Amino acid sequence: MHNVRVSRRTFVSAAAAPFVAGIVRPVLPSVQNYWADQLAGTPAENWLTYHGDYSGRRFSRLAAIARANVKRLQAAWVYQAEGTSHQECTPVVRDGVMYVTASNIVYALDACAGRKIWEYRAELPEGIKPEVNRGVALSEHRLFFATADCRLIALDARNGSRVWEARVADHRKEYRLTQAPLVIKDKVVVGMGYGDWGARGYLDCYDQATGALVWRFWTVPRPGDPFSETWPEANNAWENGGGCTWMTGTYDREANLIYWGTGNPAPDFYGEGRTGDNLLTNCVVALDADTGERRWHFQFTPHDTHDWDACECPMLVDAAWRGRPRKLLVEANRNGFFYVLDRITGEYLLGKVFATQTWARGLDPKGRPIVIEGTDPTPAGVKVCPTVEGASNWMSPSYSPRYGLYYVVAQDGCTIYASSAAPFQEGKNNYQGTGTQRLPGDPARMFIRALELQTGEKRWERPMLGSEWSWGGTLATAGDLVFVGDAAGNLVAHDAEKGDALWHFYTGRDLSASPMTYASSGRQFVALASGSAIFTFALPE
Amino acid sequence: MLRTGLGLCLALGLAWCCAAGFDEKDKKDPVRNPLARNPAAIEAGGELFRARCSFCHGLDGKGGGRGPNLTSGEWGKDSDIFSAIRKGVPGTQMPPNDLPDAETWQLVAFIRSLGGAGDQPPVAGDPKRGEEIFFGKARCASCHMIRGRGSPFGPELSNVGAARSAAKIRQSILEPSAEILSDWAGARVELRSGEKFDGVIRNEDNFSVQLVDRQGRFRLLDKRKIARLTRLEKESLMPGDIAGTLSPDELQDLLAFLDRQRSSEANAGNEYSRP
Repeated sequence: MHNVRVSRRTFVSAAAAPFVAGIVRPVLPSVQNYWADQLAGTPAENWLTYHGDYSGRRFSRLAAIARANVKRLQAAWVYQAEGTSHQECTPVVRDGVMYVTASNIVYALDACAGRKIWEYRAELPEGIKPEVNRGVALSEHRLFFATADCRLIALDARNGSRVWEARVADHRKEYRLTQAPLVIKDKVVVGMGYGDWGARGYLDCYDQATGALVWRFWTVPRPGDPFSETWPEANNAWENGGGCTWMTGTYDREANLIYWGTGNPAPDFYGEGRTGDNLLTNCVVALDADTGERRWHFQFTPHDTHDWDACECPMLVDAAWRGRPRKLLVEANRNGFFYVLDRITGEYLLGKVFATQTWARGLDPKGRPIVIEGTDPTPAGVKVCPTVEGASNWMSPSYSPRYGLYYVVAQDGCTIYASSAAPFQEGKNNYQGTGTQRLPGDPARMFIRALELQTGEKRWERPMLGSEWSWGGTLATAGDLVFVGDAAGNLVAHDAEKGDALWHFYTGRDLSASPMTYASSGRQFVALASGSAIFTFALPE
Repeated sequence: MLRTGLGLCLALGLAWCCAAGFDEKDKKDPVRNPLARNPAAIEAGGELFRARCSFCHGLDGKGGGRGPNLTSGEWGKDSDIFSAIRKGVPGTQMPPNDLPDAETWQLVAFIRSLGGAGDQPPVAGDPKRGEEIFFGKARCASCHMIRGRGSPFGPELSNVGAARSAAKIRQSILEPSAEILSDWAGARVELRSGEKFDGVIRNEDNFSVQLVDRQGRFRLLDKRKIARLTRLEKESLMPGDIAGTLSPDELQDLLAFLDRQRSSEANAGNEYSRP
């Protein structure tokens, strides 16, 4: 059950502390369901999951930093982490403590002062390189994170001591874990990665108390399983079929459904050996949180041959849709289309191009792409848009309920895709079926775009000069701001309604992480990982 | 994302790679690639590269975003490339590989053949005379610098012979707008104060731009001070009539000089140094 003492203290700080009145649009949680409510509720002083909450909207109720005063935002503190020069984590904050990962190290920091409280280092076996790591999941007292050598480790969040660890996958078979897990009730869900290296994808659920595996959902069927008809009978392509689950999903508490994206099939570019739609790759799957049973799926890119994983955030939005309230799932997919689905039934509601694409004439009434012939990779190479990195990728989108706008970092660009047969060889690192080439003199261009939820139309956009490889995400706040890590390494605050850039700060590196916000000791902070550092910003005291 | 790897190791130079990656066995490895300049080995290495390396380094080796550009020519001994392929590069996403020696050397031969002129015979001509032309009649040094001599306005050319093939260098002289390196795009700038100047953009984001003007001065500008910035994406700031001022022999001598420009520190002790 829930710790009432901690709950009350936090409840008071959330609802009654003087500073909060000015910066939070209050939502009062019930004490009884404190923790579950906190995880499901819109973030305010705490930011409790990778996405902030279960919805993936990355929208915070904090409003102390707002359009009128954001010009005064200034650096508050910087923490230089060891273990990585390439941070991809989103910090998680609870009750004034920030938890961040840097590869296989977890840090607990004073969220107000940036000083380290404790750290935990997960030693890696010889030959396993530290990987990027996107952060932790929190339960009441425990913290969960995944390691490059495929362990899920539970720590006591109060002192960093290890409680248990579970083996999620065999790193010797080229699996890797990089994502922040997701806590749901008394369980913790974690996916795995490296489908490009010939892994067969699955999603795991573990018991928080013991680390025991509760369920495993395979994304690529064995012969005879449902959807095995979408793989060839004549070979064992399914065994190394990809479909990895490498980004954190979302959760509808009321429906008790988990939504998780699946990666591309393998080999990436050579599809002749895996004829068929290759389900359930490039999908969002809706799973029963208790059993892992599939309720529905939607495949964005059947038989993908361009490495367009569907691991972008499956964002959950409750909104009126064509005149009636509806539970929606919204995703700007790597394949260049923006989708709106009914998240209870999986029904396709809307699809709209949001970035340059040349591979599909459009989507049919069921949302299936109408593929243009000649866009599959060839031995000589063929030019197709979007790029192999996709129209968007892991950089987080966000959503403003006030404006009904979906903010996404988009890339307009093309790639030359080449293919050839690729026999799988275990432990040989790569299983792509050849590769790609950028177009000389025609680099991809980066944008932040605000899309209308109801139509997918672009309300505003701003080009982001810099590197096409700088992939910061977005954060929307009740201060009518949307923050973005731009293509040059700036953290930028835009007017959420009109898009004007109101403030920026240069962090000194290309970005691969998304901003978040929290409050501690009466101040709202905005934080972003860049390089080896966590940068935080606040208004002057 | 896989951003760093073999090329980073190579670009950073040998000292680090040697310190990080060599053991006693490596010391016995030949510095020279036994398959160097072997056309069949280069072709086989190219096939291996497409299958195993192009996902990160691009089909053409110019970098695919996940891995860096391997065509800069800024590397040293063959054994360093061999070691980076075999052992990976610690601290980067470049993984170790267990390819047989012969295939690894094929890859080294192919990588050597990318972009630069490392596997080509030296360009004919009189490099000493070419040097005089570079710093004199052709006025190349009014924009370019070699080992501290010349102007910082255009690309520094101390390693151009390793980084670019002779054909590419010739094209750059005769048709400077044919290929403009993205790091050296020119711009015409008009400030709100009314001042106008040409410059090379060394960095730019939504809020500021850092240029070098024709006098070699830094122009570090907040974009709010700029009335108009015109990027010369298709037009090089380098004059296109240089060839008309040189005889064919002078042009050949200039090419011979440029072809021999390889960073001496990075190439000390190997067969690719051509002082």
